[in-house]
Amino acid sequence: MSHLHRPPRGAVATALTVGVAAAATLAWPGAAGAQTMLDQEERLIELHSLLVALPALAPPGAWRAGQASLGLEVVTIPEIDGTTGGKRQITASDQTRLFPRLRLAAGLPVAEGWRAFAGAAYIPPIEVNRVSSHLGALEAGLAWERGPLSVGLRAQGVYASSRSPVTEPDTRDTLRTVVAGADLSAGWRVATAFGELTPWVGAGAARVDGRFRVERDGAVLTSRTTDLSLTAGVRLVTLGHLDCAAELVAYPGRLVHPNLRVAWLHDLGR
Amino acid sequence: MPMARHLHRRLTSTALAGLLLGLLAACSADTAPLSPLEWRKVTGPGPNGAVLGLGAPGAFDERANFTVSAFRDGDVIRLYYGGSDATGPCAGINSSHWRIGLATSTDGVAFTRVAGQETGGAILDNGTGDAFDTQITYRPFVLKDGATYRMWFNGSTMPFNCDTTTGQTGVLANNRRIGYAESTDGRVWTKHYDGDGPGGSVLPLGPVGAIDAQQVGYVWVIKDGAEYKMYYSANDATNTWRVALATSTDARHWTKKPGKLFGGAILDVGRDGSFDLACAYQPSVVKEREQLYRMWYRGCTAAGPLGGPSGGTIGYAESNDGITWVKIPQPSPRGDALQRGAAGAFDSGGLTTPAVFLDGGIWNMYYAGFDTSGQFLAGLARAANP
Repeated sequence: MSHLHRPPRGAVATALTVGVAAAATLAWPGAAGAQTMLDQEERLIELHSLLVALPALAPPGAWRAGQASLGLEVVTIPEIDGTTGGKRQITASDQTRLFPRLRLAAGLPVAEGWRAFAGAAYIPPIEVNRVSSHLGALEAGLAWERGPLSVGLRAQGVYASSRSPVTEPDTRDTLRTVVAGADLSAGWRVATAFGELTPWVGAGAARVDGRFRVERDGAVLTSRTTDLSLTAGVRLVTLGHLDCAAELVAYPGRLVHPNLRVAWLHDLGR
Repeated sequence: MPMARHLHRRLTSTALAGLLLGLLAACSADTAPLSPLEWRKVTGPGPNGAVLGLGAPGAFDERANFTVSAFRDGDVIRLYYGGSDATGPCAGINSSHWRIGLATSTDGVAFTRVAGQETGGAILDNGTGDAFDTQITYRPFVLKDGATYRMWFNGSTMPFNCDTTTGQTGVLANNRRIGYAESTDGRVWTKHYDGDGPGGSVLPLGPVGAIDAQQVGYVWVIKDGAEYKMYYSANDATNTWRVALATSTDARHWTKKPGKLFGGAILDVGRDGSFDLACAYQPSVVKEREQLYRMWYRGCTAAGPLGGPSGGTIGYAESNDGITWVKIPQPSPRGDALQRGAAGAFDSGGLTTPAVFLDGGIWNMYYAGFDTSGQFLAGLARAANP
């Protein structure tokens, strides 16, 4: 615990950055209207693809070398209006408002003053309520530390294939999503009575490639976009092994949604 | 030190509370509401705002111009149209012969007629003998395909609405077929009576009970990769018009491709209360880019007193593949894209035969309009491409 600092200045800075990030995401102007039905369809593909992108859900430098975290992430789904042209498609929020996925992360050995990690996420193709999603994702990051401050860079890659009724209630349409992205974030560790608390903010970009296939006639629609992201989150490590994090991810003009993670933290070196 | 710790806790709690509030309040997904094209009619130099007036006395188009199609060809806009002469015993256009003419413009508004070599200055005349187009030769659609201009048109042996033996109206033409002609300059045309349809027309009729059992016509053709797609208007035994599809690899021999809608239509008439309850036909199709096909078409609310279309406004539909179409309600009380004009306007009675193309950043819709006296003339509406 010797590396933890408790200066009020740090907490003030943290509160300010979190507040600014939240205000920025709330104040960001909404998306422009679509000109065609195709624009609406592409937007729906983009939104559903962004939902499966892999958020950091951890501050930079979250794991020391030899430390591993295994847990469950809960991705929240905001209400998505499926109107395209004169028709209403069935969207993810019509099926569920959250979905879970397994998250694993491990700290890697690097030079003094730095931290690195590699992680993975997975959803097995189990069908629930006529929806199944098979997802695999990888991430890796490198962070520089100075006292309570950490600044890090993270890269993510996701491949997902989801089948669900979209165009008609009795069909099983398919959305294949590939996401590649990176983000830069900064965190500030503080010690609290509850444990180690680390708020962080970040910004990044994701290249999203969504390919939607209608089961009934084999028609294919694609959406390829590059989306900027802003994030603000907080992590609490408590009771020695409990690793909890909450993060608000905003893709301005597209999607704002929170994600949560609860994991078990284990030091493999012990 | 206790004070500092207390302050620290309060600030931390404040930060956490702010974050939680942000999480709860900011959860959203921005789908995209439609902002359709905003069509505005362009007042032309012709009578009551039309872009093309009547032809001179004795010309093939002295009584009306109707059933237009247009596109940009180099520096000019070519407007092909059907023209009505002053022949026959019935009043107005009802017993006229219809032939095809051409007018050109550099600004798309002020048009100059191109004198053709056929009867009355037309560029395409009626057929002769037992041809399928001896009375009506109109609704030209021209596709410039490399060095060849291809034209498809409506042909009929019957006058528009006239019993020529009694000189009374009340008998509608009900044998429209699709004709085909080619040209190397867009002005001098050669007809081909070697199609797979009746009398060498382009498209066979459907069997009894089919949506195209009685008539076919009002064609729009696009070249989509190596395939030609023909959107044609299909008329059944009840004189109801819908849109159907045929495809070809050589633009000469066509295979019908049944759609998913009633009777194999790709665009059907609308539900009760819709602006296209009684007819949905005369398609104008633009493939704007991959996955985006746009269609404008004529819709009519009620059948005429003799059956068939009456009145008419312009509807809009979209497709991702050019085969499966979805009607898109437009921001008007009934959801149509372009409505009839105000009293006194050349199009105060209704609209027909939209012909749409994108020219730079401007969408152009040429159409035929008619007033409450039944006078048909060509008009123009434009919309900025966002």
